[in-house]
Amino acid sequence: MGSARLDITVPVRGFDVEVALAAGAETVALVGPSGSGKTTILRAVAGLVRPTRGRISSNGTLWFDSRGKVDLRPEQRAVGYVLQEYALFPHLSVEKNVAFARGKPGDLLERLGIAGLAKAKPAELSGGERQRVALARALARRPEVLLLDEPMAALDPHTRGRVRAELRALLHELGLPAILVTHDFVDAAAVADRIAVLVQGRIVQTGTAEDLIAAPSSPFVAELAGGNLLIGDARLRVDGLTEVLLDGGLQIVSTDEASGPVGVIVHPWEISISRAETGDSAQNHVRAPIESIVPVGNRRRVRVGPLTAEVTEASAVRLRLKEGEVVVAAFKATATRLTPLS
Amino acid sequence: MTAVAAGVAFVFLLLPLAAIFLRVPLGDLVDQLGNDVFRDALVVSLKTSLIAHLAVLLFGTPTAYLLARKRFFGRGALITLIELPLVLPPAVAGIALLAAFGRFGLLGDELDALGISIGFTQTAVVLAVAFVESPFYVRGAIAAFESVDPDLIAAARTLGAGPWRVFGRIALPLAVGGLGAASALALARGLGEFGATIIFAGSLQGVTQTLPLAIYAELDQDFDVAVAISALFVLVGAAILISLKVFAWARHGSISPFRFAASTSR
Repeated sequence: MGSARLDITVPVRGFDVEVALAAGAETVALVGPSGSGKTTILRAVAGLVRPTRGRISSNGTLWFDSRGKVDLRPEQRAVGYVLQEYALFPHLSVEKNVAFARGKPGDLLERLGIAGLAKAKPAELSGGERQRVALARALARRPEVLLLDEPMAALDPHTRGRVRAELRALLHELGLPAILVTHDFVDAAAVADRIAVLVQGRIVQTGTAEDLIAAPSSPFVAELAGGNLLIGDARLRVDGLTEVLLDGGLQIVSTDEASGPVGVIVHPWEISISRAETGDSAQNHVRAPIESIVPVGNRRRVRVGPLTAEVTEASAVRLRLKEGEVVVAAFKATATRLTPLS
Repeated sequence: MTAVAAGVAFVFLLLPLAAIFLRVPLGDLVDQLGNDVFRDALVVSLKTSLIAHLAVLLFGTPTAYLLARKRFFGRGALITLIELPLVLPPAVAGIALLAAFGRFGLLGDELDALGISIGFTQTAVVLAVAFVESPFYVRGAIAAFESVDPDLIAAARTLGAGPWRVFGRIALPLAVGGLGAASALALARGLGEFGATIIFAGSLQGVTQTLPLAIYAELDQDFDVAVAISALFVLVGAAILISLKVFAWARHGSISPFRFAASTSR
């Protein structure tokens, strides 16, 4: 199985990006705010920018070594790079875009379900189709390492959920070391096996999505990971909504469509807390004692059963929230995102 | 007030052009262009500007690509130097070429030793035309290559393409519209070259006398021939401009994301 290792320093405007990362046959997500140096790392692996220090290797072969003076050109590195906005060649058809890498486009177009678009030009495609063409093109080179830069950013919210699941399945099937860059924790949680949080060019924490949510190492990670991730089994209802039976026995309703094992993601700021179940429009109510109350900036993070809610300081005072007291956490079906886990 | 100013400007610009065609109606144009001076000048002009233009494309295109893609110390200074002939009087360009390649110029002795004499030959015309038109082409070509998304170049490289393949398959086809426009403008400028040519190459009929030089020579011989050649320039110039606009319009239409929106075959 493949493996990719990097330990590099790359200067960017204002600071140094300094990271060490190793990936086996797995997808590692680099998550961080824009300008934190995520894209720079991918460009360094691809050979498009030169680090001032360090090593990059794939399957034991050195691609870059500042001491050994190894620096393979981009065309000599077996990377599959899906650039931000996909960077499809606008003057070439889908087929020719994929054939540019000198692979066999037919099989890949078939595999990614875009064989019917072979003759189309990129301008005629939807965001989801472009993403698949970009993936097919990146894979045509038989890469040892996959680099994905915000592959979901150009998609509209309706197709995002489906595309996340497809991408996750594809990456698993490929079994290649993949580095995924995104500013969206939910994308990272849905697609990647491990997540590294990048701030100002440094990795501040690495772990699974559950690790980062459950035990953030800093308020920043807490803020970023913020979302609640609940695991359960989804089933489509006749009314078009999805019912998810959570592992803890709770049942919630979502407007996202899914069936089978799913992760349910709810942002803490979408959850409201009250003393009693009220006649509001929220479909989901969780009645449980408060486990913890943690201040984050001008807000309070309140842990209720399996959920973390965020309320203002004023509300926490007004409701006289105290640990151990039973409250109702409520959130709307529209505030949930489902990500298939199979 | 603005309408009056615009009116004055239009009349001022159009009246002299109209006067040319009032003096030599289109029907008489062919007769007037039958004389030897014109035909010799046409041959010299076509031959020299074609050779000069090919040389400018051949050397100017890679130069522009390099300047558009690479960031290095002195890049700005280099671009400014290339643009300098744009703001120089063509007469100065002629003197500069004489000072470099003329018999008594910088390389005069070396060229003489090789048995090469450039001044007042067709080679001199080619050099003068190339010198004067190249900044027009290189400037436009730099802009054309700069408008190619660097991410496309990066993508091509990560797909295993070496520099030549990236240039030939990605940069060149995507810049071709801008390159064509720059090429047409430079060609037009080269065809009209006068000052540098008359100083560096002289005005020998059948050898170095290009069409603009023929206009000047015919001025006191046969004014109607001078006017007829001028008319030809107006027509060729208009044709180049109109084709550029039509080309730009057609290209713009084809890269619009909406053009195929209603008829995708999904």
